[in-house]
Amino acid sequence: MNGDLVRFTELVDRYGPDIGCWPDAIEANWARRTLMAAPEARAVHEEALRLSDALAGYGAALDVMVKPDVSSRVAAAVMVKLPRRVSEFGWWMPRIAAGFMLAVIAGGMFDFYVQQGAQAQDSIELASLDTLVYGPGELELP
Amino acid sequence: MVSAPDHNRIAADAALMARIAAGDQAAFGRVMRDETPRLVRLALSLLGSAAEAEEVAQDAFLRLWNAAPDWEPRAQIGTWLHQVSYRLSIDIIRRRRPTVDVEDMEQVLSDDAASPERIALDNERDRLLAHAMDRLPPRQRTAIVLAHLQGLSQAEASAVLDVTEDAYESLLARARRRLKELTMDAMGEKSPAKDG
Repeated sequence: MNGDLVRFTELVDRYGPDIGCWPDAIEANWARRTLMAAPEARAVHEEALRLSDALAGYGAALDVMVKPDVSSRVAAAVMVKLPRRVSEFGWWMPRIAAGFMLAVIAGGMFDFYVQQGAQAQDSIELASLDTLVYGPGELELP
Repeated sequence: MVSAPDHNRIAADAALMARIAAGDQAAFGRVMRDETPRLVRLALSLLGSAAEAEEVAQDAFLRLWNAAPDWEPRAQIGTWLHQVSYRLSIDIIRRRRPTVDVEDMEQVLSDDAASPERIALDNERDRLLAHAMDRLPPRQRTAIVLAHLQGLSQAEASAVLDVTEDAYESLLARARRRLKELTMDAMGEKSPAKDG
């Protein structure tokens, strides 16, 4: 088998029979010239076209094996299993609520321990002495 | 040769994924409606069972939903789903044959499909082709399906198989040659490329 035919076959195997879709324009132009010049290349090309057609039929037959409304059925099954999505705003709500609760608790603790302690220091106890019991001398009055 | 990725489509898909991440079930439903037939076809070509193929598609979409919050605009949604579906299908095949490297093994499908559903084809050559496809290793079969049936570009198909574009093109060439050999051998014919 001559070198040009080998190269042509390798390119068709690699890129497919649609020479217009080949990525390299230089290779595509060479392939077109080879196709016109060599019957063996045309045979290779036609075989690749038959394979593509047969594969299209294979794909259509695969689709026939799938039950109708497959998209609806798959979507319905997936929707039932979807984990609940928390919205972006909702994601922050628990955090804000938790922060608020912590602030309330901290404020309450501050009020209970700190404020009451300060009031204890400021308080004055008054004792009323009975003058009949405690005379002027005991009271040390002038 | 490197084909350029479709950046406009990737950006549009990234915006769509942001909506899905925010909980937009209608947008998610549209993705499922658009992608399900192709994903089921790919999985069916590997597994031989329509029921298993639908389960693969369901699993792929659930993974897409969970991946949405962390989505990075590097690939199209369809390419990502194809990649996940391929891997899920290979995992199922591996469970059937845990001691064998199934991706490159021939005759995996014809021997191991859970409920081998046979493709109804009208002519002998197409039946032989379907049988030959069953005998291709899963990786080569996937390369053929991606190129001929799924409408993916070379860049997208190589991303599905997690290889370079050069490697994908080489794999596709080997797959086409092997498919021709298997079909021709079954028909008792010789490939024109082998003569002379």
